[in-house]
Amino acid sequence: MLSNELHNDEYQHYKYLLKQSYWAGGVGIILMIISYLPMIPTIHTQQGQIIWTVLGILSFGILIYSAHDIYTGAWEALKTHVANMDTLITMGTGVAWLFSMGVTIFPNVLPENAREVYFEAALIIIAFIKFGAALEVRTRGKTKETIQKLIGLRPKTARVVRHGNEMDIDLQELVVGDVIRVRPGEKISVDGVIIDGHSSIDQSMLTGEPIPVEKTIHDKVVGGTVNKTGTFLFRATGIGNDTVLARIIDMVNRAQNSKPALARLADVVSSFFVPAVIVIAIITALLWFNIGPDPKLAYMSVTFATVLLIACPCALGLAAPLSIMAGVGKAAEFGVLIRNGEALQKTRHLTTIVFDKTGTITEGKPRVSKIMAIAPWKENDILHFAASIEQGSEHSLAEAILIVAKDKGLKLQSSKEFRAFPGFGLSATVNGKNVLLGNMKLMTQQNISSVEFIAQAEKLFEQGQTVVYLAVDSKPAGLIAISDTIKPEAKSAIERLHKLGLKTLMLSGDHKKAALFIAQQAGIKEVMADVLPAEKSAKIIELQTRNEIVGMVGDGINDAPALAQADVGFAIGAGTDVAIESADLILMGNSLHGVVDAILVSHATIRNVKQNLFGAFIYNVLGIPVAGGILYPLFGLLLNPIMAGAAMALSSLTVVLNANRLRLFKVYRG
Amino acid sequence: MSVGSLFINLSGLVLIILILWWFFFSKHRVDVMIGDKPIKILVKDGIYQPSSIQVPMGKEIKLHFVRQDGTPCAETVLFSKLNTSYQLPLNQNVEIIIPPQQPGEIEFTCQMGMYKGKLLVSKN
Repeated sequence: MLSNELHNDEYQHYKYLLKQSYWAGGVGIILMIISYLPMIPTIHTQQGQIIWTVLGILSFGILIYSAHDIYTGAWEALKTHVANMDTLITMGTGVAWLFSMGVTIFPNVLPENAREVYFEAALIIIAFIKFGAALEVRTRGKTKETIQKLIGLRPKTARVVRHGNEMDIDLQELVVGDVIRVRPGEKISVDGVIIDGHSSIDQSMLTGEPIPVEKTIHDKVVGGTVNKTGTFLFRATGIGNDTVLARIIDMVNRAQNSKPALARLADVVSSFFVPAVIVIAIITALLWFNIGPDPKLAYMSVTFATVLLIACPCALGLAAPLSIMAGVGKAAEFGVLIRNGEALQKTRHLTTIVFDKTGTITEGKPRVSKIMAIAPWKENDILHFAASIEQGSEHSLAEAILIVAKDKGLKLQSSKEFRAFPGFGLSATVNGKNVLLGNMKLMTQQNISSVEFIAQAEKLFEQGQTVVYLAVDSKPAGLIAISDTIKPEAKSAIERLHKLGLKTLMLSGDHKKAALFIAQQAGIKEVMADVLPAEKSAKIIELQTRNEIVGMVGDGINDAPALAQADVGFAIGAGTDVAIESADLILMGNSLHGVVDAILVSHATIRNVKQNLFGAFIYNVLGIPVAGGILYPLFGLLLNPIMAGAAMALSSLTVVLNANRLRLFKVYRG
Repeated sequence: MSVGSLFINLSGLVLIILILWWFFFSKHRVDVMIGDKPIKILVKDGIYQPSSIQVPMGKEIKLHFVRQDGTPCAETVLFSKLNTSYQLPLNQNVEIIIPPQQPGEIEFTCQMGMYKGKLLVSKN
């Protein structure tokens, strides 16, 4: 079981660490028992001296077996002017062993009450440290679980159709343009577009959304997702490192290894930590020597070793990275990709969440709900002009108009002198007539009287519909109402945000009334309507000057400037390139619950980082003086080097275990 | 104060001075990148070998990390200044390409900052 969790090399290392620990611990305990046996002579006798010298040499052998890597590490580090954990352990156990050997060979140098040996202490300390390291290897494997799961999503082979033959080939041999067959229950190998067949596809590992998605010809499929029922053929468009899954793995990997600002202090401290601890240990030893009680040399050696052994820069250095790793992994499980530790830290401070309307609050699948014509024009004329002018446009409203025109079997004409007015509309010549299609602002700008439109439009706005006006030869000709439904989960997700005490706001380029209607349905109280795409980021700045910490949720492409301006940008959209590049957080699923989940994960993770950092700081700040004997004058309390070693091993393990608690974090979407 | 205690106190002070000098003030050995050859950095025995590498400015730098150290903290190498990090699986060659840089120091460390190395980007 464990060998499955860890990479083979890591598993071997884990077993080796345990073996080193058992040997050191076993021999250490035997030595401890021997020292209490009445029949074993003490070092005060010649016979005892011989026995303890032999035991000392034996312990040296075991120390070399169990801790040779630590000692080599300390030596190599010293040569390159670096001091690390190995330095502290080497000095601590080295002093314990050397002092004991000195006492055994030259007992008369020291007063009788100082003639103690610490061979067993050195061994048991190493046993604790190695056992702690083994557990760390094991638990760390678990914090990396998410990335392993993501990597595990990649199938190894794909069934390719080449020259009419179907064959299973290795994924590395695939090329862009290959046609691949996917059968029920199979994983989709790479990114592509369906060219034949249809099926429902389980994208939950990428999006966190459990319901399979129906896909048919022309729909995109993402490598790593699972085909449920149908069989289909798709053409590969992205392979190797150029797939959505590869980019997700890369991003999660990078984010898991980045540090938030609050961890920088730990970095600064750990950079001079070890030499500082050695200096503190020497000062402690000198203090005990000069003002301590007798036997001075014994106290001096013991406190020196104890200070070195209790100090643990590891816990300090590990505190943030492990929690971040677990937190980013957890978010990925909910379908939320977090760019870096900084974004994770900022997310929890958000006070206002701004939503884009189309495609964010709404489904982003607009459909034409009404067409009105002003005489002499007829409804089909309006549709004909609008569809002709919108041909080739990728705007979602254009798509809705073109679908209806196609359904009605209208024959479209090509347009000339095409002009686009971003945020306003379009103009072109169709069939020799000047056609203008756009919002009220465009009509006003072009001095087109809008009296005929207004009464009709007002009613439509109140129902939350978007209205586009059409003018022919500078005269109003008609209007098209387009409606879009809000996402089913929008209301509950926004309710969750309100419960967390966050303010919500909707930005829209639409008419105020239409925007208000949608906002009301979603439960959003504040609306900024009639906003041009270019003005969106200015609105974010406006909120920021009111001391709001703003999160912007948009669909990634037209909202890019606003996403970048916001303190935290959430891009909706299952892995579009622009989204992955521009936002701090990416909601792989389209669900707005991802925003709330991300905020909750951010809170939990940063809380965890703080607990870890606090624990590690306090441990060292309290542990080092106690090991130095600060409690001795008051309570006669002095730590034993074995306890110091155990505490040190335990401190990094505690950090690892606490970070692992994040794996159990759950959200309730209500 | 007896000769013995004077000796011990003086030894302690000298040791403190030596430690401060060795770890903070003395000069480190610097390896120099030759031509466009990738630099092999071994992660072994608690350190990066070599740990100080002089590299030219404005040139892409290829680093080949090979981790032979099983300690879990060695598994990640962080380039804080560049905001990037890489996983180093045991006994595998991991190529890291650093884009051309301006003169200065680029530190690389393990997650705990215990393993330390630096690229010294210089004009020559």
